[in-house]
Amino acid sequence: MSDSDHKTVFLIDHGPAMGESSKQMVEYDIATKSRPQGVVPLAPVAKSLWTSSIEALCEYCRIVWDIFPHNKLLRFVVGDTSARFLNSWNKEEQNLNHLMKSLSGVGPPLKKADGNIMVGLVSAVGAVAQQTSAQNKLLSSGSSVSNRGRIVCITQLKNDVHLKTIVDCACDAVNKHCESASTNEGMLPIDSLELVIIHVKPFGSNSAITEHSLTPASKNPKVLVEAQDVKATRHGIAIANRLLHLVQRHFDLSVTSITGIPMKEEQHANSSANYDVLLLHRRLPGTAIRESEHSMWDGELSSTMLLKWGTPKINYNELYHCTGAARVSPVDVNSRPSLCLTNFLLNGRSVSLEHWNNRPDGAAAGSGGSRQMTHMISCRGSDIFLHALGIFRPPFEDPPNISDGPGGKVKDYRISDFGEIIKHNHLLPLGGRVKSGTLPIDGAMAKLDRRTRYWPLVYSKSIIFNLAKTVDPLLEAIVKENLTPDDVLQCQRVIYNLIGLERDGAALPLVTSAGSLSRGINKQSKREEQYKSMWRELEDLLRAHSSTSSKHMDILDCMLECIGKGKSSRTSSSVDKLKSNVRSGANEIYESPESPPPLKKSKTENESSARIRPQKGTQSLLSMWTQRVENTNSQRHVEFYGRLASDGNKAVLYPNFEEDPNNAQNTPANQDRQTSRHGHHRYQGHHRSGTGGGTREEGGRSGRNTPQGSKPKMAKKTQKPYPQ
Amino acid sequence: MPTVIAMDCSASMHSWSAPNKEGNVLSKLKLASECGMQILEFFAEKMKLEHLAVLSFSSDVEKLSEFSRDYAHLKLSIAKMKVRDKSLFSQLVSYLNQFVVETWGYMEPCHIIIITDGRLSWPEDITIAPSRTLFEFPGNLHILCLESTSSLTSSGCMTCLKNILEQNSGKGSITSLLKSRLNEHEVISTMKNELEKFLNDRFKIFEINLKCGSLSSQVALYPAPVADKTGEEFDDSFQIVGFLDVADVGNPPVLSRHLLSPVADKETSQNPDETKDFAGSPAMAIVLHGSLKIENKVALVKVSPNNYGVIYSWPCSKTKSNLVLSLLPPGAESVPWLGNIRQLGPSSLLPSTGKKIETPTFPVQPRKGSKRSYAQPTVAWTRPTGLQTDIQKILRSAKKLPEKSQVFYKDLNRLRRAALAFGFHELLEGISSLLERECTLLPGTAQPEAMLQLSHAARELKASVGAGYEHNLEPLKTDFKFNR
Repeated sequence: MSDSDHKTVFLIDHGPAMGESSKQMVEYDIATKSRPQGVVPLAPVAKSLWTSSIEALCEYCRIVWDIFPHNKLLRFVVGDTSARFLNSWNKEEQNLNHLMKSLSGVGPPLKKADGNIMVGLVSAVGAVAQQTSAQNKLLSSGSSVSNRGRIVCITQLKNDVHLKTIVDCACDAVNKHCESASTNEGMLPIDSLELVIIHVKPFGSNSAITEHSLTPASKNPKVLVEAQDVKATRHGIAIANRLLHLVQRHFDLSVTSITGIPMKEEQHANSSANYDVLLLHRRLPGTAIRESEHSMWDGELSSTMLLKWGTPKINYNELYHCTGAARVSPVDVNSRPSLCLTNFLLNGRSVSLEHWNNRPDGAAAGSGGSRQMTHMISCRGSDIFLHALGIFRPPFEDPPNISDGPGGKVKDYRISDFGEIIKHNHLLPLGGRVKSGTLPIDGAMAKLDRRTRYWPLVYSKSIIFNLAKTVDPLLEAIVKENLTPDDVLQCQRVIYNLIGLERDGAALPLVTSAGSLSRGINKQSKREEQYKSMWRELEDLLRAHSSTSSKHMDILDCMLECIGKGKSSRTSSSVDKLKSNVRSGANEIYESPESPPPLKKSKTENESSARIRPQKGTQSLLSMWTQRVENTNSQRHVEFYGRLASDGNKAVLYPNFEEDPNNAQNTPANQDRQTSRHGHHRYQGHHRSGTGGGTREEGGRSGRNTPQGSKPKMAKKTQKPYPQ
Repeated sequence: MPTVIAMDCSASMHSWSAPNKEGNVLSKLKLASECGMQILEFFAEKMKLEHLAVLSFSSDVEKLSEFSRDYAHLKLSIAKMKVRDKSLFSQLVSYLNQFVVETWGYMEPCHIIIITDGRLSWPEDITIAPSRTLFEFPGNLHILCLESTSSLTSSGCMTCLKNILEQNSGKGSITSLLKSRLNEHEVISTMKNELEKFLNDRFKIFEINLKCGSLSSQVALYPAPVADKTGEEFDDSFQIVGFLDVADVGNPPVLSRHLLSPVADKETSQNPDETKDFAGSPAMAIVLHGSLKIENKVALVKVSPNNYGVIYSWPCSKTKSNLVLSLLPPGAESVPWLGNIRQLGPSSLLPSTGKKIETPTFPVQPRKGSKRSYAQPTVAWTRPTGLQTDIQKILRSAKKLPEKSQVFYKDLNRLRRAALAFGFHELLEGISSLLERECTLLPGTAQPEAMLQLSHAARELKASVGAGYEHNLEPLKTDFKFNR
């Protein structure tokens, strides 16, 4: 925003001198094959100096807006007896359509008007003093802005004295604006101003001014003046070319020729010839700076770089190292080769290009060995970019293998599971579509954080991530930011299923990290140990997520209750207190989700679960008999769920007693009777298994999916906690 | 980053340093080669990936070794150094500009370590254009002087060296390796200490914590990244924001690229048992690398409040690949087709309003109404062919009237509007007469409507000069049937 090319004001003389004919004829009625012989062509017309200048100006603007869609702003002042602005610094008014429309309102200069460009010049200086929205943004963010600008004045001068009056006038105007800028809102003092005066004259005119490159004005060193003298020769191309050289210098553009573009001939569709297209673009980083001082020249632009057409077959799924990318604008936008190239690219093709050095001996750079792709041209979102590819060796060439470093010897990384995280955190350009105040990027990071809160890197470090089918619904749901009641239900089902598995003594996938397992321990205790670490892991997972929302917390609570943790201290009077306790505890643990839970807790868990668990180790005849009896009994009998989930085989009744005002009226005796008869109803409500039928089915299904053999039994057992 | 060791071997380097009791003397050249060896040993031990080159310079530059990681070879090359004539620093600069750029290009930052007695001749009258720096590549110039600071100052060499450093926009350092009045043993030990300090100071492995949500991995970046021009410092950890398809990222312009290699975490490595077995403890960077490779994705990473990069799997040979970070140019809008990086998010952030919203896709399109000139019909008449092509087009459709009347009027209106904007009213007259003549040239087989349309257009073109830019020439209505 502090560059001198951020703001450019064009001052176009609308005085009678500009209305003069350029004295160069344009033939518009050219002979074609289809026209019958003997028809006299119409007389050619002559462009006025004004028309030639405006056409050239439009080309200048087209290139600037093509290459810099933001932050390079152009304004236009038409000066005759008064000054007329054609647009403002507003972004909406920075395009060719707007300019052409306002220009048509101006029309060609009137023959007899009394013109004086000074009024326009003062307005142009005022425009440079005006803040642009980008400058305003910078200022309000507290940065300093150096307000620089450029005025390009297209006029016809009488002589060098006339030139000096204009320069003096500009110097005075700058001083005046600097003084008043401090008091005027939206104005900035001008720190430096480039004034480029282009003297245009018709063919055959002898009026000349002394051309000079940028030099500080004697009256005000802040103003740098450049004078150019151009004759509107060859249908005004001279003016256009002069402006092309100027735009190249003003915006530090490179001229690149794409050479050898194969194109079908218009006349002979079967043969193809090679064409060249000249492009302008911002200088690509990584290329040598070459001085090209031709801005006082009326000839065609010449290319500083030749790029030879390579192949349009580029793999989009390969990432090339690209040192720079620049928007391009064709020098001759409507020529057939240009149109052919741009349309080809706009259709989504990319072309590789090869830097071509035209050596005097005729040998090209790449002629010896294999071709090297040095550049690429492609279209991205309807803008065409020229990419410079990195052709030098990377500084880390031939690095050591990643598997030789830390972690390199580990074999069972959860790479495909991480792929799921990648898919879930695929970024999209959400610009403006997200209503809430948070930036999408912050939302993205929060999501990634939730997905990785508890995420073992290797399979062997986790039991629950190996219990795919049983635990998946919980793993999927728990990473969500907001849980629906259905999600909570899913999670609870998973926990009950796990309890079911444990009760049935289903084997868990073997995990090597449970290194505490020593030989000699019998199968039974091994399994116990496994379930213990599984519950520990699940608790870690749920604790890591419990801070997300109260529903996440509920799931943790549910799990703790099921395995009998946290219940011991929970009395009917201190439920809330306990909840907050657990919550604060969870927060602490969240700091380090992988730290093992306190020893004390696992002890209580061990005791409680040991009593509930069916004994399967050493079986005597009696135990087998009792078990059979129990089995048949269990068809009819339902174990009191409160006891199942309790610590020490004792159920706490009415844990929410104080919370529920309705229940508070019941006498203890009443309650006791009710509970002993319909105890499960109470708990059914507590665990939100309202859709009991569905739950039962779900439980059965997931039970069948487990690798354990005792399918039917398990299915029955999982039903039991949820009777109708 | 690549490093060049340039040894001053001018005649002044042959001068004696402090003579010892036995009358043996150490030449500065000998000291210089000691320094060179020490530098090589430092790199061999701590920065194995570094490429080094050795040069000696006097009035001419001699390449003792190409850029290489073969430290034995590099050491041998230092031994080849010989005393020559006087030192010409400008010679070295122009040599380096060619030598470094040839291998690494104009973008790769490079360290230049010069070992000298401080007498570098730099003609006062050589000044570099303000827009340029000493080197054509981003070069850090470190001048190591085998001289004490006081003698450098008194001889006026210091001013010259500072001047040189200024020409390099102050990027680099001047270190004096000796102190005044030292005996032989002290000379070597002081020099070694000073050099050690310098090397430890300037050449560090850049380590950072790479975070992916709650997962993290300590990684080393090679070469060390350089903070952007605005001087914004890197964050304490690089945080992954999300993931993108390789095709969507679409070869963005990149400032620099760096190899990411996992290193043993400092905290865990305090435990001696774990350092031994560091290859066995899992590292997130490896999971990341494996998944990025399989999914063919890149990870977008935030490196500082205003700077971003992409991490991807980079194939270094047919079978091997590594994790590489490419830093994007500064700012959240440095890649036009990604849009503002701060506006990137997962699709789950889209409001679920029941209505089906179109999922936004890459590349991000420029805002409406700002199409480039090559992507829409544009008028450019600075060259006569531009105007002639437009007129030919109109004439072609004029011959196929009334079938082509849509195209005919569209093109005619476009031409009319351009002529109005350019103040080229004479052209409208001309085109009007051109159309009138076309009327007379119509073949006898032509439909009568063609003639009607042509003369209507010719008439209207002339009459509507004052009608304004938005005025549209409409086809003459020839169908008088009522539309039901």
